[in-house]
Amino acid sequence: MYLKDLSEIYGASGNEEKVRKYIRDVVKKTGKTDFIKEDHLGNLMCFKKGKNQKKTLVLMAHMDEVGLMVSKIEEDGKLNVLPVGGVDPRVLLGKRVVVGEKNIDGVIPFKAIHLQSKDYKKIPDWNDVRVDIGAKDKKDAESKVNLGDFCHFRTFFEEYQNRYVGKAFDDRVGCAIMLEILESMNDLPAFNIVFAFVVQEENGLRGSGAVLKHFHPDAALIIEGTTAGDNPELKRERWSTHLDNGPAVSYLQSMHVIDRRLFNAIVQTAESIRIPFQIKGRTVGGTDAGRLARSFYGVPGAVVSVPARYIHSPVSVMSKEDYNHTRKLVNELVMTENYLKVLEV
Amino acid sequence: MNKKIKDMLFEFSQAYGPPGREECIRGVIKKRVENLCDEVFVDKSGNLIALKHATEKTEGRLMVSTHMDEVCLVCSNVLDSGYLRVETIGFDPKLLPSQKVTVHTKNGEQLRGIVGMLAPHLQTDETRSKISDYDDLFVDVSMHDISKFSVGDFITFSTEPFETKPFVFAKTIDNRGSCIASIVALEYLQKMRHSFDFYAVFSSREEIGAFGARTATSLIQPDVSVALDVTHGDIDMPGHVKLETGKGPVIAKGPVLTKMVSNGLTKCAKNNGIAYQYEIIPSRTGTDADQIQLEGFPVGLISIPLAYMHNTYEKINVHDIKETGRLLSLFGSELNRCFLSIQSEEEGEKECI
Amino acid sequence: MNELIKKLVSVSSPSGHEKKVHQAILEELEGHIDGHKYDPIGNLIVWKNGTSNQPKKYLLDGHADEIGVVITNIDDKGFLRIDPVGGVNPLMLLGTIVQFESKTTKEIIRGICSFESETFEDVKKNFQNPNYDVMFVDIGANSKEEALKHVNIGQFGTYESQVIEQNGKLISKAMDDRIACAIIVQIFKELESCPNDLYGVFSVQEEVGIVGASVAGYDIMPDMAIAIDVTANSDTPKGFKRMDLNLGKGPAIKIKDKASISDRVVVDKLTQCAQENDIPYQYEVLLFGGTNAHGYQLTRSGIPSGTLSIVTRYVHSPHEMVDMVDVLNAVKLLKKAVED
Repeated sequence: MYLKDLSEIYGASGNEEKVRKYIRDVVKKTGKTDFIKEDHLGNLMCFKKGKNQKKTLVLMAHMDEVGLMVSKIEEDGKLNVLPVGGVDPRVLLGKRVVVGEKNIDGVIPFKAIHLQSKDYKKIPDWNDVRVDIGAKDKKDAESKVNLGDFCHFRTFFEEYQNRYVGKAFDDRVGCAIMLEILESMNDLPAFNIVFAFVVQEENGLRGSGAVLKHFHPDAALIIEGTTAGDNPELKRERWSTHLDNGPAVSYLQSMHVIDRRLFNAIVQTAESIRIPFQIKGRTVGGTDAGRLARSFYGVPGAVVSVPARYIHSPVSVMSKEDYNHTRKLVNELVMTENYLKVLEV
Repeated sequence: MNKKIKDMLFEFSQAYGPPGREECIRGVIKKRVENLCDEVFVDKSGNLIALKHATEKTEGRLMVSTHMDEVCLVCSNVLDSGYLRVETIGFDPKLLPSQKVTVHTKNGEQLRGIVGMLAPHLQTDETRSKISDYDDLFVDVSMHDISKFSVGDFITFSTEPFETKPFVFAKTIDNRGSCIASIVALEYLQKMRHSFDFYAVFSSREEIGAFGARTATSLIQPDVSVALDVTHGDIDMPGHVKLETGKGPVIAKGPVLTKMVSNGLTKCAKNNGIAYQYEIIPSRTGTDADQIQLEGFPVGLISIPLAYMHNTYEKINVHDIKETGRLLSLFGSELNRCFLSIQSEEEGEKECI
Repeated sequence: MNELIKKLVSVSSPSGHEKKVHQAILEELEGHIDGHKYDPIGNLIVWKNGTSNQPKKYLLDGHADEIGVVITNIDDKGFLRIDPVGGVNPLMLLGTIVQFESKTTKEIIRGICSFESETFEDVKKNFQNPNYDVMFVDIGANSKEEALKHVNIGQFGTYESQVIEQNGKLISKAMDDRIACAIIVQIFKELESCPNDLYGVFSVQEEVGIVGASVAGYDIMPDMAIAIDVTANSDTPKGFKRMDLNLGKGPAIKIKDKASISDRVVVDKLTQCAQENDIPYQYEVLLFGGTNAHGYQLTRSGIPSGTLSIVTRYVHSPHEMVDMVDVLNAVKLLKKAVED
C-alpha cells in the first residue's frame, strides 16, 4: 500500500533520496509514463502526454517531511539537534527517532518528573532537546553517527476502519494519491500531465520553482496534507478543516491568492461528480502553488488537501474517506478538461 | 601570498560599497582580477563577473559567488540643527555611540560625522539603563554646512585596519575577505589545468537579500556553484560545534546545500591536505547560496571563520583566506563532466552525461 | 484627473480579484495604447510602441490589487469570521465597514467589524491586543441561511468606498495603489507618441507578497522598471521623527525600504528629469514596507529598477490621503523620464 510505505520512509528536507527511489521504482513499474527526469536539486518529474497536447498540467506533491539535523555531538555522547522545517520542540519530548543513513535508534528524553520542581511548567526549547543513542561518550557516538546526519521521527503506520494513523502525511498523502492515479490510468488524460514530486517544501518552498525550467505548464494542481484543528481546544469558528468533511479546497494562503478560476473549477468539478468537499477555514501556511506563481514566468495554481490532524509532529491522524474522495476529485481534474479549460477565458 | 592577502584586506576594507552602490569596491576588485582572467564585465545588477576560460575544451561552468557590498547606514532625515537621523543596513546600534562615520553625499563628497552619546554627567538613571536604538541615535554633522546632506546619503564607519599576525582587524571583512579568497583561487589557477570555466562573481546587494547572486546565476546558468561567505568563529554557540579561526575553511552542510557539492568540496579538501571544519545549517543560510538554490542550481557554501561579524573591527586569520582560495582552485581544477551525473541509487552507478 | 482617480479607487478589487479594476483601466485606456494582454497569473500589460529607430524599453508598474478581508466562517447566527488579505491591522477594522458583493443581487453588502467581549477583562484585552481570532463581521443577517443568501465562505471583500475631495487633497480607500494606476493611465493618455517603447503593468497580488511583479517582467525585460506606489508620511503631529516624507513637496524618489534599494541609474535619472524640468521632488528612506521594484530587480538576469512614491497619510486605513500636487507632478516627471 503506497500510503503506508511512503508514510514510513525516512526523508526530511534535503534528504529525500529514499522517498524518491521508492516513487521512481513504482512509476517505472506502472510503465504508464513517457519519460522520467530528475534535476540536480532532487526533484522527480514524470511526463505523460495527453489527448490534447497543446496544454500541460503539473500535478505536484512534495517528498520531504519535517525532521532534525545533528548539529553537535557532546562529550557525553548525546546529540544536539536543530529543526529542519517547522518543528515545535514540545512534540519531541519522550519520542523515538532514527539517526543517519543507518537509522540508528535514539530517543529524546526529558528529565524524570520526580526531579522537576521548578522545571515542571518550563517551555522546552532547542537547548533542552538532546538525542540519546546509548553512546558511552563522544568517541563512541562518532563511531555510529556523524555531524550533519538527519534525524527522523520513527512512527509505524496504522489503519482503522475510517482512520489512518502515521507520520509525514504532509505530504506523503499527496505522493501516494499521485501514484494511485498514475497506476489506475487506463486512458490518456485530457491534457499533458507532469507528475512532479518535489523537494524541500518544508524548509521554505525551495525545490518546486526549479521544475519550471524543464517544462512549461499552463497551470498547477498541488495535493497537500493540511491542518485540521478540529479538536476540543480550538473554537469551531477557527478550525482549518474537519475530518470526514472531504477534501479541502483553499482560496487564500500566506503570501498567495489561489487563482479564482481554478478554485471555481475544482468546486464545480466536485459538485458535478458529487464528491463531498470543504472550503478550508484558515489562511495561514504556504504551499508550492505560491512558489510557482512567483517564479520565472509565473504559473497559476490551486491546492486540494487531505485534512490531517497534528501535522509536523511524529503522529498524524486522517480520514480514509477524505483520502479516497481527494483521490477521486484529483483524478477527475487530471483526466477531464475542466481544470485547464477555465484558463482560456 | 600572505602579504598579498593582507594588502588586499587593507585596501578592500576601506573601499566604499553599500548594497546597490558598489561602484568603488567594484573598481578596486577589477584592477586586481583583470590580469588573472580572460574577460571581466559588469552586468545589469552591478555584479562584477570575471571569467577564466577552461584551459582545455570546456566541460562545464563553475560559478563562485562572493558578495562585495558592506553593512552600513543610510540617512533618513536631515535636521537643520546639524544632525542626521539614520536607518540601518545590517549594523548593531550598540556599536555606534562615539563612532566616527563618513557620510557620502550626493555631490560625491565624503564628510565626517560623529555619533555622539550624552556625557556621563548629564545622564539620569533612566537613560543609563537604556540601550539606544536607531530611533534615539543621531549623527552630528554640525562641522559642515547642513545643505550638503540629503535623505538617502549612505554612511560608512571610519576605522583603519591593523595587523597583529596572524590576524587582521578591519571593517567589512564580511565579505571582502571572501572576495579575496576568490582572487587567491584565480591566482592559483594561473598555474593549473581546469576543464570547467571559472566564473568569479563579485555580487551586489547580498546584505539586503542576495539580489546580485540571483541574477548572476540566471545570466551564467552554472553547472556547479559555490558561494563564499563568512561565519562566526571563536565563539561558543549552544548546540553548535565551535568554529575556530586558523583551523581552515568551513564547509556547510544542510538542505540548501546540494550534497554532491558539499561532498565534492570535502573530498577535495581531504585529498589535498587542506584542514577544514563543518558547519551544520538546517534552514536557509543567509548567504548568496539561498538565491542560487532558488534559481534551481546545485550549490555549496564555504565560509571563512570570522570573529565580531558586522562590527567596526572584524577579525580574521589570513591563513584561512589563503586555504579557502587554495581549496577553491583545487576544486575548480578537479571538476570534470562526470561530476554532474545524477546518481542512480538503485544501480549505484553514475551515468556520465 | 480627479475623476479618473475616483473611478479607480471606487472599484472593489482585493488581491487575486483584479479583473474588475483591470476592466475599468482598459476602458480608460481605449484609443491610447497599441495593445494589451494578460500574462499567465493575471497581470494586465499594456504597451505603446516607440517611434525611434532604437527605442529603449521602459516599464511602469502600479499594482491593481488593494488590501481586504476574506470570509472564513459563518456562524449559526449569521455572523461572519474573517482573515486579512494583505496587511490589514485588526485595529483598523474596529467599527469599520467592509463591503462584499452579493452573489445573488450583485448589490453591495456592508458589514460592521467588532470584537468578542464577554467580560470587561475581555474588552480591555481585545482592545490592547486585537486579532482575527476574536473579530467578527455583522451584516445584519439573522441566521446562517440568511447570510448565505448573499455571501459565501471564501468570498473576498474590501473597505467600504467613500471618496472625499477637500483642500486639494483626495481621500479614499485603495489610494494604495490605484493612485499609481491612475498615474500610468494618465501618462498613456497624455503621451501622443513616445520615442521609446512604454509598457504599463497593472500587476496582481502585490499586497500579499509581491507575486505579480516577480513574473511580469519575464518576457518584457525592459531597460528600466519604475514601480509607482504610496509611501508613508512623517508630517502629521509627532510623526515618525526618523523619516522625512511630506505631502505637497512633490513625488518621492525612493532610495531604500525594507524590500529593496533603488538602482542608482533610476534614482539619477528621476533626479535629473526633475531638476531639468523644475519639478519638485523629495528623497525617501522608508523604515518598513516594500514595493514591486523588488520583484523586477530579481527577474532573470536583472532589471534596473526603482520606485517613485506618492507620500500618503493613513496608508492601509479606509481613508488614505494624497495631495494632488504630488500626483500631477509625478505624471509630469515620469512622462519626461520615459521620453528620454
